[in-house]
Amino acid sequence: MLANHGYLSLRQLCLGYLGKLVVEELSLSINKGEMLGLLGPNGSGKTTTIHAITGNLQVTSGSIFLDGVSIEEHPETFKKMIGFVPQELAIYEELSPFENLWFFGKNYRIPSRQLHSRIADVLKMVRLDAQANIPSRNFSGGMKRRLNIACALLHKPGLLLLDEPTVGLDPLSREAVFECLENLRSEGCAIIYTSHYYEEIARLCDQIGVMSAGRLVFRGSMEEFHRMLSSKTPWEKKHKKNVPIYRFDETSITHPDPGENQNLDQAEKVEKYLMSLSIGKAA
Amino acid sequence: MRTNLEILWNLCSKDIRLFLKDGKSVAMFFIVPILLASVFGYIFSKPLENAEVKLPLMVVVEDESSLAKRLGDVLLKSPKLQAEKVSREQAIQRIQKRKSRLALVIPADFSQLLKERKSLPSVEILHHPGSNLEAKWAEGLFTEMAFREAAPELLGIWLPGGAGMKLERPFEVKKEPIPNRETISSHAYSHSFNGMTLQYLLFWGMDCGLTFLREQRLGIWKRLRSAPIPMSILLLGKVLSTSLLALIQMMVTFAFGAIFFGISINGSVFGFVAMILAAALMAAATGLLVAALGGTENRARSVSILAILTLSMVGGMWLPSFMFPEWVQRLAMAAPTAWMLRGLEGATFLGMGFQDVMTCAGVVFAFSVVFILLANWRFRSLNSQGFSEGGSL
Repeated sequence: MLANHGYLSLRQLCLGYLGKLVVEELSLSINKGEMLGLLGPNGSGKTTTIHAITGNLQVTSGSIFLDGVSIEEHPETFKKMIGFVPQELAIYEELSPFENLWFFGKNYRIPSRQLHSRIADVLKMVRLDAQANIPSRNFSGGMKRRLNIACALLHKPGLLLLDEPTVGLDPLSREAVFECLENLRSEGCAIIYTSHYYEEIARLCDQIGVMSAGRLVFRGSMEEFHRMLSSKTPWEKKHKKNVPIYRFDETSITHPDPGENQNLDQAEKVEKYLMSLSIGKAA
Repeated sequence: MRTNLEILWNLCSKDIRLFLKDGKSVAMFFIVPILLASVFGYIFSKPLENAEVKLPLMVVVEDESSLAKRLGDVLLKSPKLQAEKVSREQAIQRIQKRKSRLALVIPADFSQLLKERKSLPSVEILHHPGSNLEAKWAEGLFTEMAFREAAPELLGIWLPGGAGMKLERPFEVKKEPIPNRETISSHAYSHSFNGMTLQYLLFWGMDCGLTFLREQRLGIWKRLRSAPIPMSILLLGKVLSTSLLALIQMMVTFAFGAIFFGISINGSVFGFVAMILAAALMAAATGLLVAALGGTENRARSVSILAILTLSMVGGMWLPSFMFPEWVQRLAMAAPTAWMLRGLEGATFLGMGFQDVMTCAGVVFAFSVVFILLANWRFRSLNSQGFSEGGSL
């Protein structure tokens, strides 16, 4: 699906990294209240795409619009509308959650009184209100992850970008994060969520995009994705525009025996699908 | 504008809060330069003994006696000296203009007083206030050469004193600093407090640069770049916090030096203020350049330690610059460290005027601006490439 409309709209986006084209002609859009899961093997261009949307990487060609605002023409207005949760724990561990949130909140020009109440709200949302003034270095990995997310929510972004936000989280903390994201979506926030875990995307997202070797090889609803996985027709025939040099076929590569395919559950199919993308990339 | 200033202050105060979080680190921040300065001061307060180094010395012979002429010739021909014969006026003028640092004068009445035996004859050493060490060195060399060359004339007169008589030097050496003969309190601690403080300041800048690289590695820089803050404000925030802390550190170190070692501002006070501001900015600019060009933290650390130590040494922060070959002294003029030291020493114990100190401050300021612009350009270039090393994609 080539989308030119939507709250966030990427058009014919090409992104280079150290002189090499990493993402090619990527077009996608997302509406308010939608959650798009970006899935793909390592090096497929998910994080690079996220970095272009956050302004951390200059666009080689193409355009990025958020609510009609171009990132190149009005970077500050654009950035006011996004919240970004990097893969890394981008917090100051020497500072308490309150101090971290105060610092990052001030960067969005939130007035002090308003920021106080937003910090209280956000800390409650990520269940860290009881630890607001304890240095973050004393926190568990899960608590740090939740604080990492909280730092991106203070200015009520219209678009939230999460780059593998649950790495290393225990199931309980993960559930807390999911709950928080579902609340944000229900409030109309558009969310892009990258992950290696299909289960997470299936649990959270209503839309899915699959990236491989810098191209978007699938974009659709979760139902469409499941249908594509179960299809006996080699999928590249259905998506000629985005065809990479490899293909997914449940009976090929890892399971030559057609009977084996019948025993695969959805998650296993996705795993093999992604594996086939990786093998194709390597080839 | 106001909101930008608020953000700038927010960025800056965050760094200061982070700095204050680690009490031990704060303590070390102040103790290390004081310790370095005190130890080096102690070492420099001992006379140097290095046969390889030639001491530059102007020789003034006002006494027309054959003894004085012989002593003068010995000095001029000595392999331990880089001696030159001049008049007293020339010597004073050169020292005042900092073209030379040291002159030994054999006064007109030297031989006469030696013959009369009524009072001790004297030899004068005119020196720049910052050249106490060289003055002591010259005194030792002259005493040795005088005894070697003219022991009978010098000692014969005094020998018939009996078996228990102690052998004493038959002349005295008067050392006279030029200019401000009476007011300048100059000693080895002055040199070390200036040199070591500036050297530590550069290390502080380096450390801030490494912290910046760490922030990139931790993804904090990505988060900041995704906020609606122009890159220039982000970098300026770093410069401001590093400079402010560097400034406070210098003030504390010099206050300590003033209280415990009598270091004073003998030159222009405004010049001193301008100089420490320029030096603080230089520390921040060095840090930013380290972060911009360093690549990884470890690489940046190694390279910048080497660069800082080399620049410190060449700039004369360890040893007086005359102890280096001439080409090194010339090269030092291209190093910001030499100008930093020259300006700060000038404002403190050398008693330089406002204009002279401001020239040094201006050069240091210009170096800082170039470093900051270079770092800014590099960061923008890295940003377009996706920060390949400091914080990869």
